[in-house]
Amino acid sequence: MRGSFPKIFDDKFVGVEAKKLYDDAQQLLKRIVDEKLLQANGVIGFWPANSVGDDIELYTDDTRTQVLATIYTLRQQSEKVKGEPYYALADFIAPKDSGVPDYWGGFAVTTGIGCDELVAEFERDYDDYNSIMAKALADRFAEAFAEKMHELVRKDYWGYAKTEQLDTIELIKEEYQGIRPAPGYPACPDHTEKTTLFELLKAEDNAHMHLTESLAMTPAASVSGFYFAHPQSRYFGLGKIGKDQVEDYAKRKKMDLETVERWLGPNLNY
Amino acid sequence: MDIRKELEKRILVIDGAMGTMIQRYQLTEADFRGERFRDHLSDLQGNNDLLNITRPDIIKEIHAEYLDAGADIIETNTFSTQIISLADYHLEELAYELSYEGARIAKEVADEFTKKDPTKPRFVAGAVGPTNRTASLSPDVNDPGYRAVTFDDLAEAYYDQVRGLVDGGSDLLLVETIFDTLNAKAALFAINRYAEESGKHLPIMISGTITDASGRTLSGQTVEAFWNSIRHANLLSVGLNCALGAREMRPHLEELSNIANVFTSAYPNAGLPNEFGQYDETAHETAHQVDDFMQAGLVNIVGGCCGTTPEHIKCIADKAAQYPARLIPEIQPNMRLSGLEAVTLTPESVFMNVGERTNITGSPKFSKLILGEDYEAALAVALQQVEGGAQVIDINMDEGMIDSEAVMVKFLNLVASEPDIAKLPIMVDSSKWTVIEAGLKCLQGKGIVNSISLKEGEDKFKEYARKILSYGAATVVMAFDEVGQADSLERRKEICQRSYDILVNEVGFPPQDIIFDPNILTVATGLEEHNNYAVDFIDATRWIKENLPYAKVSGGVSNISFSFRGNNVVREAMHSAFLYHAIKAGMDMGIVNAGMLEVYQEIPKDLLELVEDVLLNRRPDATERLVEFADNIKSKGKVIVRDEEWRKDPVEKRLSHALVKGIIEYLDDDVEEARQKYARPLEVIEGPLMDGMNIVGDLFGSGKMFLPQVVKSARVMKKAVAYLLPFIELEKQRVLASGENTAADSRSNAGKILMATVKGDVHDIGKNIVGVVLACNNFEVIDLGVMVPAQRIIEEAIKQEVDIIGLSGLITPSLDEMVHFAKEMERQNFTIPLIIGGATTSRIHAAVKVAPNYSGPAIHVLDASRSVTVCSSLMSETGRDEYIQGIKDEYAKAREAHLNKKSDKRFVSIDQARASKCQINLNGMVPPKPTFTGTKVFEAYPLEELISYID
Repeated sequence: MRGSFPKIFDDKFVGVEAKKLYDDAQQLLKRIVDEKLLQANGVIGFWPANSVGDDIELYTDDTRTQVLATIYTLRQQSEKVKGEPYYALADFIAPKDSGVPDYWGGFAVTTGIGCDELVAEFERDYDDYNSIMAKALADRFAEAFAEKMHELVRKDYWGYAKTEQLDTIELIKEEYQGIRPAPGYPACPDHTEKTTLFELLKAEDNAHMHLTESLAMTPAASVSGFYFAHPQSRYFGLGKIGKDQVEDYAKRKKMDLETVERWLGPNLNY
Repeated sequence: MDIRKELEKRILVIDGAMGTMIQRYQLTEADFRGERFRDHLSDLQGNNDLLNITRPDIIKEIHAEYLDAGADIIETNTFSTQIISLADYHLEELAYELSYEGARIAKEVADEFTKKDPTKPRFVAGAVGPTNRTASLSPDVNDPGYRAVTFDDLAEAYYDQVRGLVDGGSDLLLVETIFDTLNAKAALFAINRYAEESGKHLPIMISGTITDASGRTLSGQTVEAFWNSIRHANLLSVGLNCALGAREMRPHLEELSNIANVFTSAYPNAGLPNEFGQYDETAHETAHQVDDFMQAGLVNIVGGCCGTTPEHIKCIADKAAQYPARLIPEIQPNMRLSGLEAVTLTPESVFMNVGERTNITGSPKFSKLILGEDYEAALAVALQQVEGGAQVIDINMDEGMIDSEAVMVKFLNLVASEPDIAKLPIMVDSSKWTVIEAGLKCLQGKGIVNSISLKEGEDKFKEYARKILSYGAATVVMAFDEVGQADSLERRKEICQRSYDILVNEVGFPPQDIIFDPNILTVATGLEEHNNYAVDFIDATRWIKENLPYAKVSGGVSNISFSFRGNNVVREAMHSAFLYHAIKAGMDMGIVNAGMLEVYQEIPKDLLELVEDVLLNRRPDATERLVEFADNIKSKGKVIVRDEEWRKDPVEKRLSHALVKGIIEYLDDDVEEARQKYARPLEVIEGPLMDGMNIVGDLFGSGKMFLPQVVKSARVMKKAVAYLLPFIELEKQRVLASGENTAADSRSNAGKILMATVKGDVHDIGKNIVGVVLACNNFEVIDLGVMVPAQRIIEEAIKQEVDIIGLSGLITPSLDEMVHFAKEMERQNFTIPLIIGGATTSRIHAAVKVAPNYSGPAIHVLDASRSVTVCSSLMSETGRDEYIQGIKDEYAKAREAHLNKKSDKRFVSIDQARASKCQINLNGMVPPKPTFTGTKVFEAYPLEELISYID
């Protein structure tokens, strides 16, 4: 149904149905919360970091002498108006040679534990309506958890926006400082970075989250991503990139070119 | 201690109010008098500056409190320590001493704090207030030419004050709370004089005051005009203070931040005063507002003005520590002039017209008015030029029988009181330097000197140039040297090159403010050696644009046609053809009589050929042939027998012709004829009239028509529309009465729409037509006119509770203004639809640049008739959401397509991309450290806490 919430209820044509759907969802939501039918697990992490070229080096400790892991980022190459920068996520971390001690974070959250069982219950009763509803709600919860976690990170665990006071609309409009891009999303389309993220977070042990062969997350209702705190960090679309960068990227990641090209397919300009 | 270095690293904090703090001590008359002034003849209570002598302990205490609160810069308590303000207390003789003491006290305390913590150096800003007199406005409403204070009075007074401030130990100078830019220019002039004489060049901060919602200073300048007027003075920073609270100040500060290539400052009042004149805004409230400035990267220096206290400054200082310093934008070196409004000449500008009718030597009519002291009529001449499309006004009072200096001053002072004239920059024209100098002292804007040259030798040339620079004006340089006037191409090149080198390399004159006049000399005189004069000028123009970077070229166009005095048909054709070629060669501006200019396309081809033969010196008998032709044209003074052939054309062509040529004689008849021919009056507007305007637009765009001519066309259009309006009204009544109207019957109107042409754009014909069309369809239209700043539109929209906002723009910069507007609508939580239109707008621009900045609907409308369908859809209860979503989807697809256009998409190499990476601002910022490193696990997080975060 097309229409915005909550005006859609007043819509002459779809209003009645929309309201019914909403009420049903609310009911299932209440049941899920009261009976703890879904479980929310998550893990976050922060590391001393500095950028080196287009890569983000994570260090074992504040002496920044030993590299723990490297996050590889990609840079926009679509021609821009003069003066407009070509973004890469690495730009939002202070370069190593600046001597400025910067930090980077990551997260993985899921609210899908228990979802399979719940869905199975509905399917047993041939209740497609509610089985779909359950999956949808689990997904909504996962996003909400990611949002909540990000807020806790900004105000508390990282603590760079202690006095932040945003309401839900403002949160949804991303009026906060810092970003949480997820691998596979426009700013970092390479899903293979998820492997590094999951290793750093020990997501399997800590949150019971796994990556499939095609690097999709299970349970399905999961969200993972990176944390950047700099006020100038912003979301952007990588757009299409050229072979020169793809070859360079493959070398940095120590992967063979064909594999990299496969993962970055939609972003190749050749 | 280098304040510049500090400013590059972080945001600095300036102190708060002094007056507010002094009031806390509740001092009596006796306190102000002290011992020394016990028997002074007038009351001294309230003279806060006097406390520097009678109660320095209090002043020191206040300074210390502010420094303690974290202020990096403290202002001396010397707001009025010059002889002009001190006259109110009969304490003129104390100007130097009070200034000196004010600086000395502040420096003593500041040094103490710097010693305590050398990593945080404290600076003393010698404060120079605006005085209580205005140099550009008359205090007597019945005598607009009168001035209570002159530039010289102010410069003299400021000089003394500055001497005291610097001798007392100030680290920098702060010219603040400027409500009259001419006062500020006098201050800068005095500071410059002091610096030259003493060798001490202190950094200069300057801060203006926007007094009210108009967004202008008290003396009527816009923020940009103000900046153009003062930027010549090698400033450390520019900013705003006082009068407004932080929230009201923001849009003006943002504008200043975008155009100023120096540091910026803001120290607002603690909100607006209440009924008792007290300030209610708390320290946290003020700091919160100021926080917004810093977050948006608008300022390098922050503090507070009236009503603020050390508590306010502490809160502000705490916030300032969290943000990086504003980065100074790179600004193109264009020639930026101003009257009350700013005028900029960019490489994209086609041509700038300088009106020439307020010139005694050039206009017998004007001469008579001035000699007869009929100043009112003389002002009317100036106004006519403005209305005719002049962008700068040239004023010349050279006449042996009068005191040119006095008359120039008087006339300029009168012009200053006529905002419709004073909005334009002034060109002060005289062959005598003393007259020019007197004129410059009357201009609060940035004007142009006409002219200087090497005629009197290099030393005089440099002296005049230096003075012009200190008055903050641009200058015309004639191609004239010690030997004489340049009359060949070689001589022009030689003189211009020499002048340029001296000005740029020895005087330090900004090249973009140099305007060469390589002499337009009369052709077709019969003397063979004059035949190449036009070609020489055009070639010289081309050479100057290619070899003297940033310099401009101008010329007095009427000179070219002196041989044909009395024959306006030929003269107008010559002017037009000459300009056409000269502008192609790079001529930037010229002194033109807008009334004596034919439209290039309209010059009869035979006349054009003869004229161009003469101008371009294409054949040896060109002059004879043109003279012969001229004799055959009958002309009686200024009334010429016009070519009436066009009256035989069909009505549509007649209307086009009238529009292009600006002819109103037959307009009513022709419009009436068209009205009867077409089914609805609206069709006349949307058909033949719009077609005519489109032709005008094309001619203007290709340089074949000039602004004054376009202005004439616009007038004809307005007249035509005005003729049709009563008929349109009648039709509307008829339609309503017959019940044909299906639009929302329950409402008294179909919707309320607020329309405006955006800031910086004067075009409104299209907007007006849309307004008429919408009104005919039962919409209530509120039209704010042209050049409307975003904030005004927003406030009006809120006040009138409109349903839709419509923006119009014709020139390219208006596109950016529209994007800015959309952002403002978003920031101020609007939800109503925004519609945009105008020649420069497009669907793709709306989709790619405007819509992404606003969550409400932002829709491009192609033309007037489509505006009705769009507005109706937006107002429709049933169809609105579907419609809006449809547009959003369409635009999303357009954006996608735009980004993915593989065929035309161009890419840069990865090395190039890396070279243009985003450099995040790390100035003085310590990246926030997380509370832990490593991982943290959350098991079974309570779902209840997530419910409110669900989208």
